[in-house]
Amino acid sequence: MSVRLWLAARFLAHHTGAGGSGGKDQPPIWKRIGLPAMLSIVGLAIGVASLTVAMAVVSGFESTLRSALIDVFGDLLVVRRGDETVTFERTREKLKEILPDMTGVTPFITLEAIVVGQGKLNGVVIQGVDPETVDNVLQIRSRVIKGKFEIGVEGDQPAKALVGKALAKRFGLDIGKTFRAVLPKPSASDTSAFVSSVATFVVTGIIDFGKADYDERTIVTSLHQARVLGSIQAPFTGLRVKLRDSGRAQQAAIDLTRALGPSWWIMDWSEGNRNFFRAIKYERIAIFFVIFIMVIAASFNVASNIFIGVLRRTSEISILRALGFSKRDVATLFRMQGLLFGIVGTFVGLLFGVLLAGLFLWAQTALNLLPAEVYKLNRIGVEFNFIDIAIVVVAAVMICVLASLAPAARAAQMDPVEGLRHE
Amino acid sequence: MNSFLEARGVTKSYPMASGRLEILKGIDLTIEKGEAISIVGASGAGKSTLLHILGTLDRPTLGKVFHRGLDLTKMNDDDVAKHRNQTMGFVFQFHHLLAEFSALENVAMPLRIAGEMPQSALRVAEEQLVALGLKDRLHHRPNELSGGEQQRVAIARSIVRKPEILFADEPTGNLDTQNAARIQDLMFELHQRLGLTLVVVTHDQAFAGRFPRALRMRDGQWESRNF
Repeated sequence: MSVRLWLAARFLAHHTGAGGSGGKDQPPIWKRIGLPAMLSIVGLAIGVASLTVAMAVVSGFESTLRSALIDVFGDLLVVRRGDETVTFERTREKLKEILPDMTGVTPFITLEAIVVGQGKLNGVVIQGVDPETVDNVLQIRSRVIKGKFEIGVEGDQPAKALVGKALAKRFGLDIGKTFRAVLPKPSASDTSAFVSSVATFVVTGIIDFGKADYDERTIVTSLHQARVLGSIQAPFTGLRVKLRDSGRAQQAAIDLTRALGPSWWIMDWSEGNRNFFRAIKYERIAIFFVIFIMVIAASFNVASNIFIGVLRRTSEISILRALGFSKRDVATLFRMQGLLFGIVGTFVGLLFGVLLAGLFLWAQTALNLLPAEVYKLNRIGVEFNFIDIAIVVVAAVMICVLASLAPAARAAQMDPVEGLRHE
Repeated sequence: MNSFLEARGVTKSYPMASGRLEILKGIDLTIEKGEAISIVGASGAGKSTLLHILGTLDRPTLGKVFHRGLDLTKMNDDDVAKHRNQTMGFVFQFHHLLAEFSALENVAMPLRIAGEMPQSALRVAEEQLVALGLKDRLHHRPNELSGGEQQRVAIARSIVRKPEILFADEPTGNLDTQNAARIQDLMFELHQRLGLTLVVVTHDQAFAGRFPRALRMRDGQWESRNF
């Protein structure tokens, strides 16, 4: 260890100048560091903790939203316009040729309907999914919070379906209960009119989609049942595609559109939410700088503490100069103190931040901190991103080193003779 | 031929509201290698200021200081600090040991500053302290040592780098008679044994009288070159 760093650490550990007599008689470290220096470290730690939590929550929010979207949407949506003869197998082969990184594909049928019950009406989307292939693309099964993932029809029984948890709550639905949905269909004889058919479902499972608007209006049933209910001739209305890397979805959508031509309609998972994700990105930067002001304020405290240390250490600075320290060495010693303040404060802040993040996760469920109706996500995860942490650490430590520059320069300019004159 | 240590026309003055306060007024001094000299004078005569300037802890307002022909007043701060660490040792009236460090760590400090590894610096420091009879005080902090012991630790620190010159500013001024005598004897012994050039500032006429060459200062000038 460099002698300057060693001295900086020892001087910081005895910031009050309370040398003690060593061994067992040595005062405890917090007494030797002293209250003002401890408060500086705590102030810095609070700033770093706030930054850490804010970054982790923003990352968690982005990631929760992203996984909620991808779990129930897939990476890509591929819809053939107006051709009812196309088969799933043929389309799958075609997609595989264009997208070698495709890891799964599943057909679906979407129907719009109205659920009626308990004197209430609710517009819903019936998702017909293929039980054979759906798990290759969507993560619906893992989101079932009650009952099990069971879809299809047995004999004359009502069709089995899973419902979003908010929809289940609204209509008092539970496992084994039945409900009815009204499906409007265009009239064959009069194109300006529609006829309605009524379908009855039995609830086999309740799903937490992780996104409030999905939870409020989604019913999942089998592909076959959806085709029957909607009187659809085509084997599917669209396909959902899973890629090895969801981050490539936008480029994959462009590649597919280019290769398949205008008769296919392609959408990636981020479309429709792109502005939202962009806003999160900008918000992250804004939040960082706003909270970083706290760290800057704390660094002034660090600077004043190092200043106090410099004034208190006049004699030691003179002794070190007499023993061969240059002005530059003295300045480096006090810059190292800034570095150590920064490292200790940042480390404590990170620990405190992790603790606060845990508290935030607990408070979400225990105190219903994020009502789903308001925030559209019923639970925000917390994600500690390595780059975020690295930026917080580097910025906080750097600001402390910067804060130490003025006191370090003052220490370097001190006349060594001054400290040697008096005891 | 160059002198070993030489001050030429050294003046030190400070600006005051009523003009300049002159502490040293054109001091000339030549010291040969291995010489032992004492400088005496009343308080405010400028003897400590001269010692600080000879030891590169202070710079003259005018004049020059040479050591082995090197103009120390022209060197930059980094080079002066390195030169000081390599060739000069200091003992002060108040021991000026670092309070948070043990006797061993204090003595190892000049070696650590010179860039020696901690273990080797501590080994050399221990040898030095043992040689000065402080074997049982290695891990004691300054406030756990007597005045005489503190000053012996300070002397050990001043010679641990095997300097060419030892500067002492009132080294016995804060000690009782018995301890003062021991420290005086120790300094002469080191001067003899290590061939150190010894420059001592003191109030103690008897101590000053033991030096082959004694100088007296008054009002920033030499009053007499021998007495």
